[in-house]
Amino acid sequence: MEKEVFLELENVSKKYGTINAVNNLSLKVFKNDIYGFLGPNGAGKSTSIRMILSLITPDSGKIKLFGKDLSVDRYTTLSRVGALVEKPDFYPYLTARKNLEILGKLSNVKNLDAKIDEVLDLVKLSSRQHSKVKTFSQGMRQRLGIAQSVLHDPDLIILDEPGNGLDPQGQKEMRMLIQKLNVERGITFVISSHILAEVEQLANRMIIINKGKSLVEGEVSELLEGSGILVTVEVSDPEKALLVASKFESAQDTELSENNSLRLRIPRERIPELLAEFERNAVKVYSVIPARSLEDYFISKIGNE
Amino acid sequence: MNKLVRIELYKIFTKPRTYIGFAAVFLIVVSIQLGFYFEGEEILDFVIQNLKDSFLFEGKLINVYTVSYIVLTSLWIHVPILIALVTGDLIAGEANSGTFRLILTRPVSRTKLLFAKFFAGWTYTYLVIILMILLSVGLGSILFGSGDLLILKGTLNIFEAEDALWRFGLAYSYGILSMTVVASLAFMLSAFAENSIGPIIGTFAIIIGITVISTLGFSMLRPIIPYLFTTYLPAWQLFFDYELDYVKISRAVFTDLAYIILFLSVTFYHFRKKDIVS
Amino acid sequence: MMRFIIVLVGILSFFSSRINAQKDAGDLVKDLALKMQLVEKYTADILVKIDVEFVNIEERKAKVFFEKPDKFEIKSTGILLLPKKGVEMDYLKLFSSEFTAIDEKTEIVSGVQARLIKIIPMGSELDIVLAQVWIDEGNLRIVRMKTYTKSSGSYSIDFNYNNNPFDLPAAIRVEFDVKNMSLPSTLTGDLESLSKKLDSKGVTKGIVSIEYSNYIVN
Repeated sequence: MEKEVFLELENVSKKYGTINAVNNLSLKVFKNDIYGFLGPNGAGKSTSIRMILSLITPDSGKIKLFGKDLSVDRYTTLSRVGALVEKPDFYPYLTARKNLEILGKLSNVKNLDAKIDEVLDLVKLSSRQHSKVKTFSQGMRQRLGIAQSVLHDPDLIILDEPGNGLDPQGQKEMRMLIQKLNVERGITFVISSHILAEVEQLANRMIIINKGKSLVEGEVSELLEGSGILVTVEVSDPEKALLVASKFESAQDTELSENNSLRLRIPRERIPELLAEFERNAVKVYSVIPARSLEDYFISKIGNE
Repeated sequence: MNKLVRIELYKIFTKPRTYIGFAAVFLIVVSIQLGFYFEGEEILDFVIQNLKDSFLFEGKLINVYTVSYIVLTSLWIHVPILIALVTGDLIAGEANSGTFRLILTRPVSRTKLLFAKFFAGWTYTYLVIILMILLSVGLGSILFGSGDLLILKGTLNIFEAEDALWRFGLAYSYGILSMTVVASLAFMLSAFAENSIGPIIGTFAIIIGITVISTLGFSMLRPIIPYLFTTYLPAWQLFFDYELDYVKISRAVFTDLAYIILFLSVTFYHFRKKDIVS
Repeated sequence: MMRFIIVLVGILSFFSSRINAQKDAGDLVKDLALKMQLVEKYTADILVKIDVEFVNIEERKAKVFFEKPDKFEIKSTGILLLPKKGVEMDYLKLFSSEFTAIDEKTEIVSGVQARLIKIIPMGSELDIVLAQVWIDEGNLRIVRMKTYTKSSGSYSIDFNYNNNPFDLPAAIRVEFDVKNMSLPSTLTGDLESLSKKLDSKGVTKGIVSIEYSNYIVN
């Protein structure tokens, strides 16, 4: 049985002057997905998300939410969507609770008071609910941003760079919260990011875009499979290690690096074999550091095209 | 709609800048009143000194109406700034603070939101005028007591207290109308801006600029002066003509209404399609 | 010599005949002043109509108080402006000071036979330099008066009577010169008149009519 499509973009384009911010973008997000929306800064992620949320009107193409055309059914569709676009900005002169109250009213939330209590508790902001938002740290605002996005029990939540401004602990908590909401409440997520690792840990499906164009879309595990990650291996004898690695069939782009290191691209699952090969050739390995970045992945993808 | 209006009113009246307007009106009105309370005779003597050579003045020259009239004349330049301070922020303020991303991603019609915003801004506008009335007439009555209104407006017009009262009523009502023009101008500029300083300064600059140019009366501008809204900002004074000039008054009212419709139409047309990139 | 005497007698008789026919102008004015001085004080209600080019005001009611010799007060709830000269009856001062009176002629004024007498004050302390007074000799009251002043042009007053005690007027009509005022519009915020040139026609006439009623005298 085909899974229900919650969000669909069909050949959506948006130009700013002569710049193609988004160029013929198509994608599908299924029910219950945590969908990674990846791309470097300036790739068109934000513009795409703004178009999905009707903040920006596309020049061409079609956006469907829950199977309905956004430009036709804006109210019914948007009332099922929660979102946090870019920075979590609130009315700074109002308290956290007041901000949620206003947003809840706009979304026609029933039993608003109880609901606000619930989401504040969810993001652990209950104790600060009567403080003005201008006194909040970036992390607290981010959490309040999540709170407002779930306030009206949406079926789909779109988060734009949710890890931004959070420390590693905060990022971890954010990921756990998203997973929890996805599992417990069945909420579908679209999460934009320029950090592959973040998406890799969360998403089941993803798209990578660059210069407004889709590079690749699909299951995260399939996409990352076999693509090879860039690793830096610190060894006792780099010259010898280079020789060994060059002969190893799954390793690519092998080169010498600083500090007795070797850089190479290799599928993740082949790393143990390579290490064994080094050992057989009496090359001692002190560390293996994955250096996979989104940019590397792009380069590999663009290289493949 | 009602809900949106309530939310917008709530936002306006929890924002500190709103109270700058009220405080400024309070300060200006009360300081003029105190000035007249302590120095009024001298000020008025100076104004009517050559009349006093020929005429014997009887009755209370300094009274609630005369002072209220002077308050009106001195406030017509200040009130537009105070109005723009809030109405120029209505749209641009949300753009600047990024809160459009929060509210426009919810099931809210932009048209309705604009109506609610404008209505809330307009409420502020007339509350500023109401405060001015309350202080001028209320506090003025306590400080100065009633009396006839004496106005120097080309001629010396003296109105009996009862006569003055409805003239003030009409002048204040007209004041609300002309300030609505200012509010809609600031609102329109606000729709085009990403922060509220532009619309506030812009509104003020447009008003001052056009007023200065039309006062200097550049001959090439003369034909368009009757079509400029700034020409009618001081038109509340028409209600203090001895014989009301209904032609002038209706021209002022219709010009104001036309500008309000124009400014609001541009605002709605632009904002409904505006890409929120802030 | 005889001729001289005849001429002298002729001249004298000519003058005496005049004197016999009419009271001396100065005496007449003095009689009038005496009659006026019988009024120690009075109050009256007045209705004032002001017709001055640059003043717009409705008819006003007020109360006047007078007390000899020159105390004069107006009580009004609203604002009232009256021409300083005339209403304050500064001509009373003229009548009670030293003056020269010259008979001019007899005229019909407002349907009344009146003697026109020119009065020139002797001293220089008064503002009035010359007054023409039309006197109804039979009733001993002033019908009209025209006064020339040092400081504020001329004014004329027409009096109407209606059997009030001491022949106090029932109505007066004051016509006076007004220097055209350049009203300081900057202070009134009147931008409209800022841009238009203030015309300075110089002097215009103003008219103030006052009706008196409810006299309470002395």
